[in-house]
Amino acid sequence: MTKKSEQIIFDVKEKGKGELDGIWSLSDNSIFAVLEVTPIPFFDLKEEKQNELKKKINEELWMKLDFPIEILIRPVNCASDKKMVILESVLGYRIEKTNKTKLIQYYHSFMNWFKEYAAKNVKDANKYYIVVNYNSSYDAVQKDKSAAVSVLRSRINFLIKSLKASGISEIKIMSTFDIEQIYNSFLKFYVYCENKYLFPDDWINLFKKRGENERH
Amino acid sequence: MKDIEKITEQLKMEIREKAILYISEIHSKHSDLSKKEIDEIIKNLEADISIAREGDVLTLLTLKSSTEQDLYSHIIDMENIEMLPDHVKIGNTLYRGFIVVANPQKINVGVFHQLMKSKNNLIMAMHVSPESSINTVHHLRSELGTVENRLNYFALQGKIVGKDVDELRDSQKFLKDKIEKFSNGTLKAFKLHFTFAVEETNEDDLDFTTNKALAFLKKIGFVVKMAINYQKDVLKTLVPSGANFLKRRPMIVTNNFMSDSFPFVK
Repeated sequence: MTKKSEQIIFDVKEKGKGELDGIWSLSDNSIFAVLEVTPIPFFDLKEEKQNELKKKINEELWMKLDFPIEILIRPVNCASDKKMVILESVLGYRIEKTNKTKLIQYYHSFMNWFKEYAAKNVKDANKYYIVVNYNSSYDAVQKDKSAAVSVLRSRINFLIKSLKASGISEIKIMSTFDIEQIYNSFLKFYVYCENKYLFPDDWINLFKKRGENERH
Repeated sequence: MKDIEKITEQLKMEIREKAILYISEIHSKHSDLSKKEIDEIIKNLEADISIAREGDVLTLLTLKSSTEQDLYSHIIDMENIEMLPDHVKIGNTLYRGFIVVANPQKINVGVFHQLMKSKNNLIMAMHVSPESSINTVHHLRSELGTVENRLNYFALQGKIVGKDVDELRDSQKFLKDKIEKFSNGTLKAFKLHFTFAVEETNEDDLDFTTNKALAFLKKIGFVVKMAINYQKDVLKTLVPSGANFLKRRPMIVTNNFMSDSFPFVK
């Protein structure tokens, strides 16, 4: 993510590293962490089971929740076929205009490979996240981040416990790298394949790796 | 996460930071792991698209040749940001943001699953914050007071039957029941901010997809407003940060509404 884009769009102050991996702070000194949740196959269940699950969600999550959360649902690879057409036509036009023979050849073989790769691997999917946030302004005055982090961690633990008790078993605490990938996906061209966001440098690296594999 | 996966992730971060890592370093750092486990970690690292192996060294793959860099910079050049009153344009993607200002009393389970499934290209965020029962009861008591004042007024006028009076008595009963449930803890209130954006590639498609999504939400009883001139704030609210950059009056919903709207179902 470029510094410029970050300044224009987002308010991120610090991205957690090391011990604080996955804990980011915003300019208002609030800190947050992101959980990725895999939804439950609710509609495959019988009505009785559905009601039981609903009751558990109510009792274990909503009745016990005592702090704010953000629930976020994001479709990935939205309109990817249309985006691919735009990318190919605009990029193709720009590259042809350079008159650089080597670049034009490289672009064509890259694009042929990329279209084939995308057709095979790019699929529509929804990603589900829960964001846990704690406004640590008070701790920031005291310059003691550890107290805020411990509150945030206890909130994360509560959520994981409540969601598991509600029947959701697949919950992942996202790392700094994972969160950065989501932010990047709002700012850069991307395709989402095999549980990963792939950006232009990844596309070129994949293309390069594929060439090397073929040579071997 | 299993230990091996955790170590692989840590090593990936290390390679991303230092751009280079010797395989001998992995062996010495994780001498407690078996050869098979270390081999699995190295295999996982090699499989990462941004890491290459040359003999005993794992390096971060960078775009080395000028042709690769040239192609990359041409793609990146297309990623400009444009802020408009009714949408934000980033590269070849357009986002149009909305705020939900009123909700239906009741919704069916899986309604958001249906909404997200029907190719509406929606990104949605629900900021949920528990409301204290004291505040909720206080608010309901003041509503009940208004209803009872009107009933007294009708009684003074000698009007004790009729459609108006019946409706007020129903409201009185409904509010009393709610006050009791909030007071004894069988009901809980939440403040809910519901924000979403439609994602598309051109303005015509954005209009079409927007209308489709709005029709769906209207049908199930949500009242939606476009965030004119606040498109940047909608986008900021829709990236995971927990913060809500749109300071609007929240909707007040109950735990039953939250359970029914539980979105983690498929």
